[in-house]
Amino acid sequence: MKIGIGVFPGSNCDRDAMYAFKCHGAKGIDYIHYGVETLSEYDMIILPGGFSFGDYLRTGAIAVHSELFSALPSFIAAGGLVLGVCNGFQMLVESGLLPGFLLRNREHRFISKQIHLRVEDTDTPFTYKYSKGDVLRMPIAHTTGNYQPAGTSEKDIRVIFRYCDEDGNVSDEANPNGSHDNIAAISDPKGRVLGMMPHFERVCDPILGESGIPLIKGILEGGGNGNS
Amino acid sequence: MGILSANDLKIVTERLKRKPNSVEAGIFSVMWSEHCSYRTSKPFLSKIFTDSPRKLAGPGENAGALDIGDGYFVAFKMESHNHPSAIEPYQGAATGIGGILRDIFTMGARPVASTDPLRFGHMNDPHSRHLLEEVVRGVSDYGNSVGVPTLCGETQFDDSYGINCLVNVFALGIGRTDEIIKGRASGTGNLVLYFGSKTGRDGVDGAFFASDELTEESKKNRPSVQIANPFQEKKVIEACMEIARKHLVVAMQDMGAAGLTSSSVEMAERGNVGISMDLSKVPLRQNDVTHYEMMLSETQERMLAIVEPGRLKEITAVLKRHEVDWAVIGEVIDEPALKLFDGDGESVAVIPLESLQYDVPPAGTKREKRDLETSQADLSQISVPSAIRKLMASDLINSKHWIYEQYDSRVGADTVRPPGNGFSVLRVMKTKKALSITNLGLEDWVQLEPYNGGFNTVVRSALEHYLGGFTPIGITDCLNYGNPEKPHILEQFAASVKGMSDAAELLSVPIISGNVSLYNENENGAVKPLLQIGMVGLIEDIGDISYPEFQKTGSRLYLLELSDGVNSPTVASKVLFDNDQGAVPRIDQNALKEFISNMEKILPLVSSARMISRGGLALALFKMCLENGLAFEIPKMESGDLFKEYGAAMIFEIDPSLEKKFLSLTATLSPKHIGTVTVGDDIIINGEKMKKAELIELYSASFGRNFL
Repeated sequence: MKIGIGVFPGSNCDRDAMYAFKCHGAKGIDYIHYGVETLSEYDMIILPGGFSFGDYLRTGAIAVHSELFSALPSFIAAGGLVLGVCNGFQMLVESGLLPGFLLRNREHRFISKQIHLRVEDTDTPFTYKYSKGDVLRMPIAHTTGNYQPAGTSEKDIRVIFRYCDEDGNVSDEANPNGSHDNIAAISDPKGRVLGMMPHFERVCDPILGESGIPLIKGILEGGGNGNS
Repeated sequence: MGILSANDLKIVTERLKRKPNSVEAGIFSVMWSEHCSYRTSKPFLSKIFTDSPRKLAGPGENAGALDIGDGYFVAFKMESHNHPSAIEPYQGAATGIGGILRDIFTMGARPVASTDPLRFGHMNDPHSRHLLEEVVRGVSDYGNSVGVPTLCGETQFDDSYGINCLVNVFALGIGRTDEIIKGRASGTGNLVLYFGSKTGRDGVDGAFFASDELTEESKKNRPSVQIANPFQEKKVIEACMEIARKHLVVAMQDMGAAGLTSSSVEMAERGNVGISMDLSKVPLRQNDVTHYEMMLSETQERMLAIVEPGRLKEITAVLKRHEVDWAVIGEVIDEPALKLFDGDGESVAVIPLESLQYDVPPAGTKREKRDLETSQADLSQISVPSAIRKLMASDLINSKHWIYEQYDSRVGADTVRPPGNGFSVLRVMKTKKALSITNLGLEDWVQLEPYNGGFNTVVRSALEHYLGGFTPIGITDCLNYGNPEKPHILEQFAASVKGMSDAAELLSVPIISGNVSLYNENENGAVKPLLQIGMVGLIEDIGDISYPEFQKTGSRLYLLELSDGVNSPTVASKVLFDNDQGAVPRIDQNALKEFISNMEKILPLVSSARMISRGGLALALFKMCLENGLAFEIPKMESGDLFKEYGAAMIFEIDPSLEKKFLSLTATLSPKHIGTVTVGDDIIINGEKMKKAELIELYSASFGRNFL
């Protein structure tokens, strides 16, 4: 499994992702400059969190015009995996590689807190190590994470994680940012492009929390059915 | 603005043996401003305790730095951005964060934590609410964007901060000891390299503005407030990290207050060399920036480095990769002077560095003790449940999650304990070590008895680290006072700094960096004096941390006091009786020393321990039962004692099987048995039950209601 972490000026979770994967034995993992021409040597691209190009215009709006993004469609078509976290999810939505929109949070403020997630779909190369209905504790940290499918037929959206309470109940009180139907993560129809707001990379060791570990191990072991 | 006083002009003229031109006069006046020269505070600061075998850099460097072993050092410092934040709170707070981070990464340390102690007027005042919302948004936008987690803070309210809000910012970085960079220029012929943002007119004269009282006129100073660009800062951080790793510079300093002037002069002074610069090479945002403005601009996100000519190619390749603009603007010269030229080689300014030394009498020298009225509130007749509910809902006590949830507290994946309950903890990546961070300022106490107030601040902070299993290794201070030309203000400053330093020396915790902010004053008077400290502790094994939270039902609770028991002003007296008067406790130094020397034996017997702080025993116990589903019962206690705020007092949770051993070890310190840890939904005090859930609701939801 050869993994590339896309680095844009203003990315700030690239090092955290590198650390988390290396903790669990990742060998072939590099940083990739956003000006890269081809991604053909990689099996998976991580688009990390941060404020790419300052995000002064709109989240991800400049990053998606990079060479790296030009190379992504053919990379995906050739079977490559893409995992966008926070700003990475915002880029995937901005570019149209994932459907829908991310709006500013309901309260129009940055939210940094621990939330709970319910695992909704385990039939992907990212989530096959979880069980459906598992409740995960992870941090979120964003201003623009209010997911709205606007205009997309709901059956075209594969929901991977939903915000819930600690008992797994999906409710409005457990929705931190106003996302439609408590959506925290979605994938493309094939389950090979995943976008998520929560930071799994910050909960990958015993000191910080472990709910991100099955995701990393799943990726590194290369199992799971991505073609359902 | 920016004009030398008649007396200062006379001194400059004598030293230069001619009248200074306007650029030179500007340089002298900004270097001699309170903000840059510490002209009033220096005589007192020069005596503070700074010794430590760990010290790699102390006061006078960009930040203090301490060796923490395993090849790593920590650098930390605190600064104020009070005046800009009072006028333009969003930009003031944001640039405050930016500035303090630069002091850290300029030393080759990656900034990994920030904190922000704040003071505002009460939240029923719309202007204070506006200031708080904008300051928090400024900290949030900047800190989150550059990817530095905000780990704690300390927000308090008092009418004296209604116009002059206080915005203090602390930052900590970790670096490799073999990569530390200092701000000492050397090597004749070495190049002066400018990189980062292009220079504009923003913040020209900012250092003067920060050295004056706030008046209606001050609003016209908005152009003196700098504009923040966290994206630029993030690029500069990454470039500087690579520069440090590859050892590409001889010296480096950020352009902070007084910008290009102070960064070049200070680096030259430390290295006893001179610097010559061609101002036509300075990258400009607009064409019409004058030489005077260039030297005094406080445009943010700019760095100045001294580079060997042979390394220029390498360093500029790094800057190019990180998309940071640069220009070579000068060189190091033998003659210890600042020499400025324009493009044609014509001289703009020539100032021998010796002449810049500020050694004339400071603005204020008179000190005068002022006796304050000390009629204390009587807490003996109050209803305990009603008082607890009022305290939980009060902004002086309630949870500030509305604030800190706007700050990313976990970016960097090193945050072991985020803000919210006691000290915060950060691990040191690639080692077993962890760092604890606290902020504390006791303005009511410093106002009443400055020396004791300063002393208590250090002792209470240090004990908090000890109880967590950490050894406090250093202090940074941020000293916020009124106009020091008034004798009672200078007395507050001098005596409280002495108290802080004496306590630091007693505990062997050095003060390694800091900042002074004077003239926090307006037509209505001075702010309550805030001696804010940031303390950092170190633990060798992250597994040994002990958190201030109850561990199990049935444990016995003990109170141990190391101070003299006088009644100080408390949150209870302020909230219930609007009374901030009282005496300030004196620490029993023998008891403190005895406790510390026996700590290694006592603490392993303790299930949990907590310092009593704002809100007294009642609040400390409540916070101990927030996490683990436990509660407590206090069978009998005077209401005054429940809310008393001690100089140094702590609660110990003791397993009944270890009680005898604990009591024999602490016999001379006479701990008092006060109650028991219980399980269930109720907190019981003097037989009266209170629902824990109701108190938690008041505690967590009250602050946010100010902003509905």
